[in-house]
Amino acid sequence: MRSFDRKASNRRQVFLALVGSIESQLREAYARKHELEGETQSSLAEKLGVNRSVVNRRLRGHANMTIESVADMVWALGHCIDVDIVDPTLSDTNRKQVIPTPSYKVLNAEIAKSSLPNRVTSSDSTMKTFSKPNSGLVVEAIG
Amino acid sequence: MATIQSALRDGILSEYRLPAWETRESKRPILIAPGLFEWADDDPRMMNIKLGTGGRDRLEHLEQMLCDFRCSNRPSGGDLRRVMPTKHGIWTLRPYKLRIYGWFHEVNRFVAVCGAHEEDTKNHKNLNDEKRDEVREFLRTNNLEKTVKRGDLSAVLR
Repeated sequence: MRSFDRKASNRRQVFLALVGSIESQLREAYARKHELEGETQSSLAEKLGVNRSVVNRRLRGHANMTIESVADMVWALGHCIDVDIVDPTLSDTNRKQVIPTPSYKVLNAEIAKSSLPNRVTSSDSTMKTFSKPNSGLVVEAIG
Repeated sequence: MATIQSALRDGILSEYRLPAWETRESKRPILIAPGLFEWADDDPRMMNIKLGTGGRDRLEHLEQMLCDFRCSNRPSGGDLRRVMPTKHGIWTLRPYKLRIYGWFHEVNRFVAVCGAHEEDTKNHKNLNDEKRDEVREFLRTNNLEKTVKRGDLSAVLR
């Protein structure tokens, strides 16, 4: 088993988990609708009053969707949303605790003070602290 | 004649490990040649957020696509294209602004060998053919030609 060398920082992982979760659920919801009811990107675009390319970009993850556009897509698919922002220490989840780390500037300043090597990347600090899965965030689109 | 299993055993291919932020269960493996990992890790354009979209760089988009391929109930054919001539059974995955070249060894089972940036394939007319030939050469060198599943989208995705 192998993955890419770069590891996202803990803060970045929460973002990637959120967008990945939303996108993949939208795609799966669309695929189901398409298969069962013949829903198309054009029919979704018509409901939303946007061009088909807008729907295509959203489904492919090529758009930075606002919360409003996520809600629009979910509505057009005839689904609803259930969002859980979870504290892993208090809820029944297999997610590990997320410990916010200082921003790079603060971190680098601290390192400079302590005269340690001053080049620390986000991945360095993350790899030592966290393991999978740790986003602590669950978003589900419910049909 | 080598098999996918022997290629995995010999380190010619590696199974892609899901990143830490992916919380879904894996439903199928996706196999990757070491050269693709090295290309993605070494190319600064992969990590340039300005060249990405939706707040993510190209490597993050690539990882998202690989995750979806591993974890979705049914892999999407929307970002998948056959490379001409189709008789060789070479396909491209198309994450944002990227081309990932490889082949299917079974239904829903993709092997990714090499990659290119979309703009490079537009600027260098032969690059697409060169990448296709790189996959064919990889297959030839490692005796994996018999593992190529041929056919159109309905033959490789279900």
